[in-house]
Amino acid sequence: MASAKDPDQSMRSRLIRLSAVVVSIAAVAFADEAQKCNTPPDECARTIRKMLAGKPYLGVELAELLPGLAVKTVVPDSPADHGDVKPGDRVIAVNGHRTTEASIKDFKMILAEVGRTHRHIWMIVNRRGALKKIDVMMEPLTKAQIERIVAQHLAEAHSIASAIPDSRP
Amino acid sequence: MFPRLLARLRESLTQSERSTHARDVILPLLIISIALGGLAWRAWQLSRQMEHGANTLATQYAGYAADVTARQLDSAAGAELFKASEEWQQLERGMAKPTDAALKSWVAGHDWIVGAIYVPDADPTGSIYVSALTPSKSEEGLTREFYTSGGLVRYTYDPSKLLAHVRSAVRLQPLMQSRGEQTHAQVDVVTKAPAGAVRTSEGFAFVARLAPPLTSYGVRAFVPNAAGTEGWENARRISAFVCLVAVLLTALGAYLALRGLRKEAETMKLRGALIANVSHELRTPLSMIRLGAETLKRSNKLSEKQRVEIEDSILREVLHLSHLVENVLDVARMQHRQAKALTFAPVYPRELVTSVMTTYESWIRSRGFEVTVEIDDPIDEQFWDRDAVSRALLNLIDNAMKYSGDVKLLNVALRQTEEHVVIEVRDRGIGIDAADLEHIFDPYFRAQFSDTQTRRGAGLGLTLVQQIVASHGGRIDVESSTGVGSTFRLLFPRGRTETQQAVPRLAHAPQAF
Repeated sequence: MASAKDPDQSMRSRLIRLSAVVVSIAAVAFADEAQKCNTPPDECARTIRKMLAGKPYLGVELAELLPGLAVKTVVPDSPADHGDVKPGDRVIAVNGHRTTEASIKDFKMILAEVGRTHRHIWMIVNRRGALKKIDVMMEPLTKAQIERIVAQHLAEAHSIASAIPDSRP
Repeated sequence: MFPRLLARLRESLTQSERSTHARDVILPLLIISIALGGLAWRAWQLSRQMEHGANTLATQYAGYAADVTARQLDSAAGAELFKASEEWQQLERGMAKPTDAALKSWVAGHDWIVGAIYVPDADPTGSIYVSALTPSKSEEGLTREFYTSGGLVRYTYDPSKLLAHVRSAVRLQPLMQSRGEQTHAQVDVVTKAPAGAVRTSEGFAFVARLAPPLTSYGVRAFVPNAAGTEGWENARRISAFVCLVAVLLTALGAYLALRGLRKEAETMKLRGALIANVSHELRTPLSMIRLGAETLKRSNKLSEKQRVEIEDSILREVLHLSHLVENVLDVARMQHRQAKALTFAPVYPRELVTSVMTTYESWIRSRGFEVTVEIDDPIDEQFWDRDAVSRALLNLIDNAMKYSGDVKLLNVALRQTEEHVVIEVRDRGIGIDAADLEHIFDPYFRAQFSDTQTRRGAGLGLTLVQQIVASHGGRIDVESSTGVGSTFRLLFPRGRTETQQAVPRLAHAPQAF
């Protein structure tokens, strides 16, 4: 089941499945508390798809070093991963904006600003003392990812476990 | 029409006779009219400008109130959004990984948020979604998002609920502070109204759009008419009407004054004619008398016949002179109401007419006239002034003889109808022109004949006759046609025996004496 390439992901899905089972048991046990979401499931699914469709994402988690920013994690198979961003990179500049003293919020503001017109991000990072220019094309979440999120919500809030897709092929 | 009026005006201004009067009257009128017109026009203009200004002010005030309120709402909404995002970040900082429950509690804390999804940076597929319990069906939720240090929150919200939340920020905008009295604009939140100023019959409205996130709403401010301009148009009309009336009154006054002046000028002309006439009339008999008297004194060789002739002529001229002077004095007296009070006494009209005719028959015949007298029988006794009526009759006979042509026939008649006693004098003379008929009773008026100067008289005879008849309560009828002759009828009411009527003053009495 779990692919060697993606141990985190499979672990997470296993956890999710487990929690879904727990939740459904809980739903039977405490009927009033378990039903977390009163909105019809299809309404929820529709809203989630609408809210996520087409929205670009980069796929890095940052840490504030005070001052400066460092890449904490990179989401596997995300645009950042494809663009060769590595955990531990110090972000020096993004699209011409210096980020040596920026906060995460500033960084995200720059991303949002860029995302309004185009999706091309170029970053200058300090990787183990060497400066490196990285080009990243931000991409929307894939359909599979969105479906996963939907299924997760349905499982957690509506006790519908069947919809959770397995990890990717 | 206007050029013709101008031409007449110029004519009357240049006419030598009335030029000074006309100038005296018309120039002030023109000046007053022009000044009034100018004032009215200026007042009208000012009123329009004031109205326009007041309208603009009201509209601008409405716009100001709408704008200020809209900005207040916008900033309140913005503050609400900011507060919500701050609250979430507070929650996020307090936990290692945001949970479903945390997001749910956050959504529950803000009733205007319909649903929210949290996308963590570390794992987008680990996003959590929370939907509010009662999503709004009526309104499609709008989406906003904000970044946190660990991820991204995207939420949908219900603008109507957000609006309800911030609505308390709407406050009435005071219009102006004047003597402690405050006028407010009425401010509402509206959904579907085009932005901009609208003038309604009740007042002035202005709609300002709200900024995101409340773009589907607008703020409508309304300033009622009472603060603006009600009734200006009517006030303008009234003042214009009043001005028009003033101009008309001025014109009327000027017209009356001009007419009076013209009348006076005519009277002056007549008075001049009278002096010429009377002096001529007085001089002729006087010179005849003087001639006769001198002849009598100087020549001893006159035959008896010649002497009697001269004496007769002197007597005749004296009679004529006294008649003339009598007429002039009587008219003057009557005009001034100091008439020697007519002495009314019982009179037999038949006896009166007969005696007049007897007395003057020889005189009439000496002028070559044939007289016929017709008298009805019986005729009641009347209460007349004997002398006055005799003089009236005599004046008529004198006139008839003066204005006779070749046919020297006179007819005097006395009749009695149901209401009147009528004395009628008819001649076969030259008649009176229809145009002159209405003037013949005016003092000093003498019809224009080519030979007027050859006929003697002061133009007072008929005036006197009319006054006498009027003082007896009667009237005069005249029938006349040129070349055929004239008939004068004196109609005295019958049976007046008691009251004595005051002598009426002449309507157009010239102050000639």
